[in-house]
Amino acid sequence: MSTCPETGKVAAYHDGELSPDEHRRMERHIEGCRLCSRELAELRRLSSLLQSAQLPRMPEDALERLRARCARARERSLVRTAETFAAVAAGIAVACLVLFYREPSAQPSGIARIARNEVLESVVLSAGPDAGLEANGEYVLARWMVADLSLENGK
Amino acid sequence: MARIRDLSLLRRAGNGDETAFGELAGRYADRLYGLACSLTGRQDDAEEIVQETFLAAFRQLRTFREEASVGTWLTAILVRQAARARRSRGRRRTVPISEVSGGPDDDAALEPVSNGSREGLRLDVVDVLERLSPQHREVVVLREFEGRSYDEIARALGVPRGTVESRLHRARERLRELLRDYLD
Ligand SMILES: [Zn+2]
Repeated sequence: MSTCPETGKVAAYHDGELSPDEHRRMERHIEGCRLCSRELAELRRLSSLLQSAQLPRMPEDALERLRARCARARERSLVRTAETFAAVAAGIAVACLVLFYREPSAQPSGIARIARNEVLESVVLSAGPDAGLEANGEYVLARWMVADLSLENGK
Repeated sequence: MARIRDLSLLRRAGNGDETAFGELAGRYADRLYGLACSLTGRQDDAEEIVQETFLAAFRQLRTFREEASVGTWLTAILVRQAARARRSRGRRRTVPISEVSGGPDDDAALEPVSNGSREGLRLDVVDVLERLSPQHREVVVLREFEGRSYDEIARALGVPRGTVESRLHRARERLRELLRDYLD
């Protein structure tokens, strides 16, 4: 059985992957080569057979499930964003209080110090238990700040 | 223009606009579903893959390059989701239905089936593709159904262009064997 060294390029020709010059050269070659023209005809038949086949269509109820799942994912991401904002806001509030109470001119009495720590705890806790993962990080950070603050005030 | 329209639909859908989502899904869901079926060679994973594709698209909206088309971008995400589904299926080590029920015989050519319509011969393309290896399936689907260039396929799959060419060559050889009754 005879072979042609150009047959390997027929697929690239068929797929439009040759440079314009190479494409024209191959076109002329295929016209005069029985092996390559048969190869091209077979590739064309295969492509048109595959492309004429019907791919399955998405079932109607699957479309509805897709819509519902995207809506749920969006709601969850909105809730997460809101929780993160709340936690960050609480963190900022704590930081402001820390700065305020560190002012040397405002030396607190013991009772006032306890009251203040309660305020701080409550600010922190309000962002705490229900918050999501990111928010929880903020919560832990705020707890550290409160602990740190209590130590400093207590010395 | 269609490109800009699609992009605005994608953004609005990502922000919860139901009408935009409906239009976007109407335009792409069928095509993505068909692709998912042909990439996995089965219909049961396709729905999940299409869902994951839309969710990933909304999450990654910021990475979308405006010069790309939404269809091409969604396809690229879907190819990755399908590969991921295949890997997790592999980890779960489920037994394919074909092995349980003595399904497709790998070496036999497919007999043309008549569906009683005027066309006479109907090709169950998902069934055919299921007989290819996942890697051969990917290149065939992206080339024959999506009309992607070798370079685009190489980028989508993260393999060299030469690998795309050789996989495509072997995949077509296999398809010519499997489909000889249709092609003669
Ligand atoms: Zn030749």
